[in-house]
Amino acid sequence: MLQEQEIQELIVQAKRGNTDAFGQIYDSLSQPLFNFLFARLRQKEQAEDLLQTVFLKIWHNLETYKPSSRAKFSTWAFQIANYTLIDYWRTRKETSDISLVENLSDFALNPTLYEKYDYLWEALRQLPDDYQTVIDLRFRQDRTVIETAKIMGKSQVGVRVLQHRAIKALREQLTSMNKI
Amino acid sequence: MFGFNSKNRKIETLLRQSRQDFGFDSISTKARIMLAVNVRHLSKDDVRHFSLNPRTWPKYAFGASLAMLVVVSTTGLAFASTKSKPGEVLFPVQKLQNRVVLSLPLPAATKAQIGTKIAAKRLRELDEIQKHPTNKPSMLSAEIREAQESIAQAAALVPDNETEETDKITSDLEGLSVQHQQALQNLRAAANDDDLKLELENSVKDATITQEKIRSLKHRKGSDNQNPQNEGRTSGSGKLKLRLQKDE
Repeated sequence: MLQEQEIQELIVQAKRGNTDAFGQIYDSLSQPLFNFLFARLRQKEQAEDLLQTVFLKIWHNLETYKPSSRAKFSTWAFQIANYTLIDYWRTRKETSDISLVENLSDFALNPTLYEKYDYLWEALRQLPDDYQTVIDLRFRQDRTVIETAKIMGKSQVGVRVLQHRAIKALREQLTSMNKI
Repeated sequence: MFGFNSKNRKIETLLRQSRQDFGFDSISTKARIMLAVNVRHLSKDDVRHFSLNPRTWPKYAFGASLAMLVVVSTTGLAFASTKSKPGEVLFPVQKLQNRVVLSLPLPAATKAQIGTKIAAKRLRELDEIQKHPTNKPSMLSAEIREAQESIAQAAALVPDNETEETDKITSDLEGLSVQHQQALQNLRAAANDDDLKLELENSVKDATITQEKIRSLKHRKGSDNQNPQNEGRTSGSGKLKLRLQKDE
């Protein structure tokens, strides 16, 4: 992934209409954003669809993005991704075809690592959506509490509380699966 | 309290250790995004859910068709912004552009027309090679392969519903497949190289199979037309199903 300063320089160019610069932003952020979407959706095509939607929203709203020393550009991108996901579920979740849910292991770039922790992924899947989101952002995407709060539209205290509850729920789930 | 915290920390560590990247088609996804980004007419409403799901096509068909028109008019031909041919270095770029165009949410008949135009282009290139034989057998092999694939793909894109438009597309495709077979037979007759002759023989067989599929498409439509009870029924046997159509 590019450093924050490099991304900010690319954003300046992209705002002027430089699509190559935007392409480089895509190259830098597409993998983590896809990981975030796919882990939640568990359908590769849908995740790719939403990834497209996210980047097009980023492109269309680039003018409104204001750089800040306290928040990286990726925080804003993840915020868009999270809201796109919520928006998608609002309209689709009840009608989505469960038979299309795929095995994450089929797409893991490190299958051995996945196999070692597949029980964790399975346990996570049983948790409520916002628990999964906070765990993914805090521990897989390595977001700070401040960044996670911004992405999820919560207060910092709210994120800490949610994280605590999520980990507790995960622990209970793992215990019921005899994994800890 | 300590036990509780240490257990939580253990889980947090496990979560961090289990971090993983997942594979996806980054290149095609990027190409679709960049195509949309370069088409200024795509409005924010069209972006709301830019989807490959055919269920959303009617909603976005107008905007996407307009986008397609803009791309076609500004590039000369959406699927030929490079003039590269099979076997040339930049040809994969052209193929990717074709894929991107065919993945836009366009009406099925439009996609079939585009597929037919791509197939016609491949055949013109094969014709040229007949008239001006190339010193590069790899280029000829590539052209043969691409021509076959493009006709088969175009046939797979023809929608099930019978209209004047789809009738015309099927007829055009039938014409192209006959032309294709003839070109292959001519090339086989003129070939000196044994490997090339064998390749051409196999290609003639493939071309015959594709031709039969196209003919059966045409005749199935014809017989469907005669039986009023078959109206609205889609027949899928023998037809290739594209990934994009699996939600239908």
